[in-house]
Amino acid sequence: MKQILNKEQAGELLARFYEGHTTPTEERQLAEFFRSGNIPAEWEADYKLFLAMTETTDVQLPTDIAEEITAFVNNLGQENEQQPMPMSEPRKGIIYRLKTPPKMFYRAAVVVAVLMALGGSIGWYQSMNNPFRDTCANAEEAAQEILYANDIINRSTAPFLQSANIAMEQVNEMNKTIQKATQYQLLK
Amino acid sequence: MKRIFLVAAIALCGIAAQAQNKVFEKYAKMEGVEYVCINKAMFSAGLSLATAGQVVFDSIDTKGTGLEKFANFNRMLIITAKGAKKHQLSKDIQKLSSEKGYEILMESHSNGNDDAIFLSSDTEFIICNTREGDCSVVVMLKDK
Repeated sequence: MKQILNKEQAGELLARFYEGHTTPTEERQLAEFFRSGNIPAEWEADYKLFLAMTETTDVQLPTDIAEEITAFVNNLGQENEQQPMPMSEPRKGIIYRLKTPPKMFYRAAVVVAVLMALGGSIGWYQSMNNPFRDTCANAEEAAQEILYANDIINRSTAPFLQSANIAMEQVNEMNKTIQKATQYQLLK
Repeated sequence: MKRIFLVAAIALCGIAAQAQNKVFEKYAKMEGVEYVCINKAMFSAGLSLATAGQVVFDSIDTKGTGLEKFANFNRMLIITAKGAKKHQLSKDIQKLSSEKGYEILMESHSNGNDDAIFLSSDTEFIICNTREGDCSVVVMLKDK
């Protein structure tokens, strides 16, 4: 059962309404009070304000509102062209926000995709700058390089082999001398 | 915050992987230096082509070809430097003998020619050859 408020109760609720502390039920009670027609003359302004703030369906929009908005926007554009923004004034950044935030799965997918792209970039950079990357384009080139390396190695080891051969010859000569001496000793 | 941490961690991993301390790495993109790197597959193909005259996919028989020395390795670097870079390469070779893990096998200095052979824990074999005109280094590597 609806209970219409008296002036005192309505006054208290109205004060709370202006402070923004009223509940939807209390606002409905206030609306009932104002619709009852039993409104004090000093509350006329409050009545209009309350209706304007709560019952928006009663507001009549002009039929040419769309044209007026378009004309207003066009005027704004022209004003901006005539008075360009000074360079010193910092421009505000544009922030695009989604109506509904993406779900956890999509967020994770985006993070994984970004990390994969980053990892791929690092890998590509490393492979391009890797000093241990193949410089030979084919097996023929590799074979030529191996033969070139073989020449270098042979050139480097030649002095050692020469010394080793001389040493071996000396050892052989010594062995021969020892054998001869042994045979001579045995014959004696 | 977590995302920033993840991105930073991945970037640091990349940098750490890049920061390998190799003596001859810097010559890879140096002007005036001829740098050749032959990796596993290309080395195997190139060696079989140099020994058998064709690319064979089974074991390569290097006996009697003079290429026996390559049979135990599977990667190779050849660095040849001339002019000013030759001295830099020679200095780096001299430093090798004091580097930890490198053992000098043989060394020869005669008539302005320097030769040295280094060994590093059976996986790296370095032959350095310095002549009047150039300095050549062959690094033979074996993956463990």
